[in-house]
Amino acid sequence: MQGYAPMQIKLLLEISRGHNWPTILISDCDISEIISDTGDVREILVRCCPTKNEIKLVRSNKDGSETVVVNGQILRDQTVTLKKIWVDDILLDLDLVLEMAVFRNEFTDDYINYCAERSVEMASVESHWHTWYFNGIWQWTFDEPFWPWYARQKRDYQNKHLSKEHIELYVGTSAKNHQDLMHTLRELLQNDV
Amino acid sequence: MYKKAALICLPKQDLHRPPGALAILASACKEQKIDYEVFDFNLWLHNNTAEHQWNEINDNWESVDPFKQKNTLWYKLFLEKLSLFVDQILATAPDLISISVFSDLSACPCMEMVTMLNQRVQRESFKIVIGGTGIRAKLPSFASDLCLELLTTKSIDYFIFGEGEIAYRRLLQGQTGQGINDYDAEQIDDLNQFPFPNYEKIDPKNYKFIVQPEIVVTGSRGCVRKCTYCDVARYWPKYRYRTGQKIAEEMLHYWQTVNVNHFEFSDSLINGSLKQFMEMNQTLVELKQQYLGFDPQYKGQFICRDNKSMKERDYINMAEAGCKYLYVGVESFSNQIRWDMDKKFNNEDLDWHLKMCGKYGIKNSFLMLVGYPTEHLDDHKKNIQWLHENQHYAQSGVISLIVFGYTAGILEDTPLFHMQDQLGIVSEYADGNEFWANNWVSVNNPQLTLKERIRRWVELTDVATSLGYLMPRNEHYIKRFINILKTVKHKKRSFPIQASHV
Repeated sequence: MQGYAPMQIKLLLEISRGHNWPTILISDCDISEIISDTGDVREILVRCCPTKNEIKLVRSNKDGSETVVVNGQILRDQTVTLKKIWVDDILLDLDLVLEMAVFRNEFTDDYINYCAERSVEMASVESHWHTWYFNGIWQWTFDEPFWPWYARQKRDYQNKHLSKEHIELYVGTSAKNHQDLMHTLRELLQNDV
Repeated sequence: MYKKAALICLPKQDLHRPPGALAILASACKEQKIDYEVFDFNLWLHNNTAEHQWNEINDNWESVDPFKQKNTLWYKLFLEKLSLFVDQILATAPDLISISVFSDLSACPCMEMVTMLNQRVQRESFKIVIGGTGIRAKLPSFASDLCLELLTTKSIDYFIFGEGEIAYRRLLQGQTGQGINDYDAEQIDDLNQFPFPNYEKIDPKNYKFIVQPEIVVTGSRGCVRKCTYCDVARYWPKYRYRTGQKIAEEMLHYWQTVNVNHFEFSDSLINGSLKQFMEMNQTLVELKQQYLGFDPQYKGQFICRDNKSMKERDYINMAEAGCKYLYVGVESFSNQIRWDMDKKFNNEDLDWHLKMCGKYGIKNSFLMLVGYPTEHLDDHKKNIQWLHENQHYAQSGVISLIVFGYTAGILEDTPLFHMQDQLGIVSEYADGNEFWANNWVSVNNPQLTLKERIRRWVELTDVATSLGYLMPRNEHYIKRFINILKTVKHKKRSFPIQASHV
């Protein structure tokens, strides 16, 4: 692996409170600012300059009392949602990042009991989820240099989720797919016309 | 007055969404209380041929003269399928067959369909009208424009040139007049005057959409720019636009009536009128707040503007309104060439645009024009240098696609066509009609031969590929270049050419 080239990561998080706000610790976090506040929901912009190839977010301060239930209805819940993520001011494809990242849940006792009673399976490590209802650690590991690596991940993701026809027509393909034709064209160009 | 219309679309067209023309014609029929059926032969052909056959047929519409391939297997298969489709059309007993000829690439399919319709015993029971920008295609096998050729031979009864909304309504009422069988098209000043295109008999879900079904929306016609190589002004001399409010309401209407949230604009430029574009974005943001579930996403052709005309706040509004993807006619990364083209933006404006698109998640497809008549080797090198310097935008997906096209062609009635003397443009090959628009060289820039333009195209696609820029499937371009180079081997130059850079 090459030496780590510093880059700036920006996260837009939406947090909601139960009785209390969640506590969030983010590795190599420089600045965070509240950009909107509706009383129970806030949007926070966090800027980080990771010193290694990962970003880690530790979310804590939730117990059973943070899910506020009135007359059997959830009135409020303490959650953390990753809404957007930028690298060097370029917005990344959130679905792709969420597929690559993992969230290690630390379930509450109440939830463990609830699942046990109903035989519900609990996945302690989850991808794709962009709202974290439990305490836990969200971790995204990337590679360097970042953009070529990101481009490869994007291609793999598209190959997995889109049809060949759609990729050829809309997402785009590489001219390498037409090597034989390009070879003929080059030969013709090399001949005097 | 007609009783039943058959509304027909032909290859070659995009399959992602229903052709807008069908819904516009359907709306006219509905308004005039005339029964109609919709027939999209392009979609039907795709659904009724194997993938490799479809690709071959579809690619070959872009060949120099498809008629010359009448004896090939692909052409015979096409005719076989067409015959089956014509049976289906005639089974509905229409008395007016209306064929939309989307572009020059639909000219050959149109000619074949019309020929086949004329061979049927029912011919006297229906009239044929053709319309669309492709009706003036000049096929190498014919002396005049497609529509004149067909009218002269009485193969069709009418053609409608230019905007069809008024002329087609008149025809449905059994009348003729301006814009029918002449080139004196009536321009519509108020694009808001017609009812929304009608999708009652067209299901966007049947198309090959990418994420969700899509519908075409028209916010304006014509263009505020007069780019030298472009022939839009030939069809729509005057730029007209709808109000941003109306456009947003139309999108809401499609969500409410056919549950479609994804839109593609047919406009030459969605931000031609900045005022209306911004009003549309603002209205969409407001409608999204009012109607839960209305979450529009749109794509369209866009002109780069400087950071005073398109401020950061405007990009934020675009993103919030659902702008996801822009087609940008960048054409060249050389400021001088873009200046020569009258594009009216520079690389600084392009940098600003990419920065804002990166920040707010708007993807771009760059449309390039290789080998403009004034392009020198230095300009070509600037193209290569730009690709290197902005590689991260390709890798991040901000530039999702780059399309290098067919190399510069000189289309009839474009500003460039009328600048040929000024630019010293002459035919490169004495007998080069098969590749008409590409058969040129400038005596002021004699190194930029047809071969050199293709060489630059190859070099650019090679560099772009190696840097991670993605292109749509470009087999048809390569095949055409091979065909051209093989053909010119046996042709005589009409102009002495200096050694090329190969």
